[in-house]
Amino acid sequence: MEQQKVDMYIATSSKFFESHLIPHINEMLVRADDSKYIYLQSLGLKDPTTMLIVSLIGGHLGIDRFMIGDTGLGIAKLLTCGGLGIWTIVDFFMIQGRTRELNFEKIQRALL
Amino acid sequence: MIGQRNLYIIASLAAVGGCAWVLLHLLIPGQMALVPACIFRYVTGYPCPSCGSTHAVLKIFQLNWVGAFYDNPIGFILAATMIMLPLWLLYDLVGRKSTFYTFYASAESFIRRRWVAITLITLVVANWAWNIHKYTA
Repeated sequence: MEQQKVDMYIATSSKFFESHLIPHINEMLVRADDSKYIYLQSLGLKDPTTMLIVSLIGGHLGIDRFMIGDTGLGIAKLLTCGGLGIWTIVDFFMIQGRTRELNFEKIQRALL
Repeated sequence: MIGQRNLYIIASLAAVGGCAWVLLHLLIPGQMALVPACIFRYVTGYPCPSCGSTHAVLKIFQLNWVGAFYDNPIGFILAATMIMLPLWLLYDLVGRKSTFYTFYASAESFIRRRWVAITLITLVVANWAWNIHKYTA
């Protein structure tokens, strides 16, 4: 992929990933085929800030975990009153990192 | 999909935490009622879908199954999990296997199927409505 396109993608999407992974993503994109660019736009990456808001509002019912694709943990959270409230609070701090991690997994799968 | 190590850590914490919670209720029954277990009910005044499941689990272990069902049917899932999960984790730990992780991965992909998800959501919402009715009646 052209460096200009890669730079544009990184500039618009860096908030979706952990900052220390950006050079790695840059490298992956440069090696990827040009046809992957449109596919990347439709990946449906989750915004970590939005997920934090969802976690603050609906985290007790596991909605944050369902939204990022951790269905099993979402069910566990839902059935245990948000892990007796403790897991709900822990997830306020964890959910952004987990969202970025899953976004990276998504882009990795897309570029394979 | 969550990593294998993280899943085992979370499952172990859940197993220990769940057993500790139920044991505390058995040892100091009066005092534990003062602890606000559900943030949702504390904030909104309405019960969440799983409110009442601690009482249900306690009644299941006292073999009062009808009472447990009326408290919250989710208690049956939790009681079964509380018995099975520690044994399963121990089996995997001792035998250095990953049967629980394999089961979790396949169960998660099964639950993601549209008809399964819709059925489960309907059940949870119906149970929630019943829960709200019980608490407000």
